Formats: sequence, C-alpha cells, structure tokens
Amino acid sequence: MNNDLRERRNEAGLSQAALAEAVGVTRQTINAIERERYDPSLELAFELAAFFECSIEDIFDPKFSDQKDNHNKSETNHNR
Amino acid sequence: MTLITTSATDRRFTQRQYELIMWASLIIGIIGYLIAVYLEYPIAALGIFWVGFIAFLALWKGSPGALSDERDKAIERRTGSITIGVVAVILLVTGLAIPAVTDAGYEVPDLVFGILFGYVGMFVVWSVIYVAIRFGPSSA
Repeated sequence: MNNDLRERRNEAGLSQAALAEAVGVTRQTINAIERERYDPSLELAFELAAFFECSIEDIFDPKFSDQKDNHNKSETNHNR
Repeated sequence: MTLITTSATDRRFTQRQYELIMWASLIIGIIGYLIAVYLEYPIAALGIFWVGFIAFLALWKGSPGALSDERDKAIERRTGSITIGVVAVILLVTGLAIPAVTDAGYEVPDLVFGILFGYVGMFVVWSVIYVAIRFGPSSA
C-alpha cells in the first residue's frame, strides 16, 4: 500500500529501529511497510497514526482511485 | 509526535543479540541432542534438547524488544497455507495413483503408505483445529 512513512520518519529524525520500538514491532516490519511489501494491520496502522498524530489516511493511500475507476466501469457496463 | 526516550541504537543491538542467542540455544540443543544420541547417552540427549528449547522459548517470549510481530505471524500463516496446499496435492496425486500402480503389477513400498497416512493424520489434526478456531469462543 502506498504510504509516506519513510518521509515522516525521516522528518522526525528517527531510525527504523526507533520507530519500530515506539510502535511495538520489529525493524524489519517498518522496513517492509516503507518498501510497500507489507500492509500493516488496522491496529498497527492506528499505532502509527497515533504516533505521528495524524489520521491513517494521511499516512496510507489505499489506491481508492483505481477501485473507484473499476467500480465506475462496472456500473457503466451494468447500465448498458 | 510521540517523544522517544530510549536509545534506538542500543535497542537494535540488544534485539540482534537476543535473536542470535535465541537461535543459538535451539541449534546447540539440537546438535547436542544428536551428539549425545550418537555417544549413546539418550537421557542426557533429551535433557540437552529441552534445555536448549526452553532457553529458546524463554528468550523469544521474555526479551524486552519485539523479536517477532504481526508480520512474522502473517508470513507463518501464508507459509502454513502454502504447505498444506502442497501436501494436499501430493496426497491427492499419489493416493489416487496407488490402485492403478498396484494394478499394473508394481508393489508400492510401505514407506509410501506410511508417508500418506502421516499426511492424512496431519489433515485430521488440521481439520479439528480449524473447526475449533472457527466455531470456538476465540473465533477468528
């Protein structure tokens, strides 16, 4: 999932290990999220949002635009 | 942003140390077991293994930093799912082929039957646990 976790972490001057410790996961998990190789659980997403004092949507972009496009296409086909 | 008061560098180093000691305990336990069995000390072998294994568990669960987390569990879930799929295919293909192979005059070794019964037993255990989790009080 698209996210700006690396940018936020760098802005805060934190290492991956420090952020991992703060939210209770391993450094490898933070690395995997930043590289978009792992989608965090809802619980961890809330932890990260609380840590950076923002909402989950501010950090993560679930690519809703693609889904909306597909949904609109299927609706168009259905109406035909 | 939440303030962090601990030293991340120290914590990372400690976490790596914990991981190293944790896996070393398990490996030493297994190697010690094999050596003791080879030297014909079966009771000592059991003791060596369990000491290593309990040290592994103690470090895994008792260390201050997170040594495994939700991503590790997700990887384990996926690995387990793929493994059960592979075993199912092996069981299906081999199990269905046995009558035809026997009919063709080939005697299937007992080892193959042993492996297949082992797989069947594994699926029985898997099914029981699946039902318990699905319909139990701590349903997923």
